[in-house]
Amino acid sequence: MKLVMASSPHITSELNVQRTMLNVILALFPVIFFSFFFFGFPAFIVIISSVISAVLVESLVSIIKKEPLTVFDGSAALTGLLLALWLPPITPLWMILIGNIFAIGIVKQCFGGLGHNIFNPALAAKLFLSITYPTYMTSWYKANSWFQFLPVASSTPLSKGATLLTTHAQLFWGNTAGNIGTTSCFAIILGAIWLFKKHIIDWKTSASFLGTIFVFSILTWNDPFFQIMSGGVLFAAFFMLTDYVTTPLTKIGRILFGFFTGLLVISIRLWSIMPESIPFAVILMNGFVPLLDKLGVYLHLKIYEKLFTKHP
Amino acid sequence: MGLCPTLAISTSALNALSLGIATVVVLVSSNCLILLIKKDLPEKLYFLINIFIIATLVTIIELLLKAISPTLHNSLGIYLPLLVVNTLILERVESTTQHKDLKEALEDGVEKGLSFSLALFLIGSLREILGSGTFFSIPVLFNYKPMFIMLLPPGGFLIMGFILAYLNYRKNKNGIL
Repeated sequence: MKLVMASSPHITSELNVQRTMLNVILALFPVIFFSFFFFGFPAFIVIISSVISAVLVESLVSIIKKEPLTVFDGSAALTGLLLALWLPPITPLWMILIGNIFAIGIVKQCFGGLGHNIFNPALAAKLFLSITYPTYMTSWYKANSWFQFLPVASSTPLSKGATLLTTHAQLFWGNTAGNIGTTSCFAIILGAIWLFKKHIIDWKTSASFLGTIFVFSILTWNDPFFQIMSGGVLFAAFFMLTDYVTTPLTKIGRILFGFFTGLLVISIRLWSIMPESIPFAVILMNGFVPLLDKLGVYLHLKIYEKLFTKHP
Repeated sequence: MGLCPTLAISTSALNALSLGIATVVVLVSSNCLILLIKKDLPEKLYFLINIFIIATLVTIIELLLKAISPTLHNSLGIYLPLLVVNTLILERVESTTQHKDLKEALEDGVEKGLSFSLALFLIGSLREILGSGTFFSIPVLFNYKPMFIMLLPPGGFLIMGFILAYLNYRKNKNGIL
């Protein structure tokens, strides 16, 4: 008899890795379109070059490790795409290459490839870049013109001490300064609807994450809609927190994961000097995923014990 | 061993090298000193007197460095006095009880101290080259945007991880380091 050992989830439907990645990339198409619409050609170049360099790095690592090529499952392309969507519209090409080397080469492949990485590769690379090159990573540009080649520098709605007034409508459509893919809430919601329809992502993480941010921004006397619609909170909720590899597997674990990430996001936003809170919060919580899973299993067992033990 | 100074101080080649030299001097002299007075020591006070001797030597080094080069002393900061509780030194001094004679203790101190400072120097120079594009404060990389993260603790861990990975790779390949 042949025994096959595999890590969960044990997929039995027609959804395989390739299909899932393709669906996520499809779900990102509205985001890409809107970023092209608001930031013009520079954003497009960043996205294309990031995807290409991610694929190149992945195949290079496969060749060095003398393993079969793993680029065709699309995970590398997706990582490159997600990283590009977190970068400012104008990013030098060499910086994109360094980011992808860090994302694929170190965060993903050093831990053993797809399914073994502890941290979200795209966000880890974004974090690496924003610590390494803070000046590049915090130079944002106004989003107003199509086919622009020299964008106008601007501060984001979240910048400290910015006198910029951003309306909710602007935030919703994405007509603000910010990272390439994280400004337009409309496009992100379109993509999220597609993902939910295809049953690719779990609503628990996103819901508890967004709910926590909503409740805590009310408690700390901030505008909850502004907090949710700015700085890529929605993007992280649907595309980052729901990453299969770096999310807890248990239901309670997922809810706790979303809750703590939301708490961290709000605390970093309100009481720290960093303009961007999502990468820090998500990466920090990624480290806690095994613990949350253990806690989730423990709590599940406790609950079932309570429910199904017959008391005399 | 002694990870705290390794990661905190190895932001430049000069810092790393000076801390390495200080470690070698302290290690060798404390090894020899303790070996000389070992016979007359009561068992209970052994550890206490070890620490006492190391602390004295570290203080001497620190005062010397302050007199010779105040800027270097400033940049090393608290990590020079912290050599007193460096686990590497404590562990080696502890093991001097097994040594028979002075020559052996001397050899042991020089060997361990030099390998520690070599590792420190390697990490320090890599971090300086990547983090600020200089080597002993001489610019070596031109048209280079410094990677600021290499000067922070995460960069130290990254570099150390890569060096350890390389050593492991060689170990797996050849069976020896």
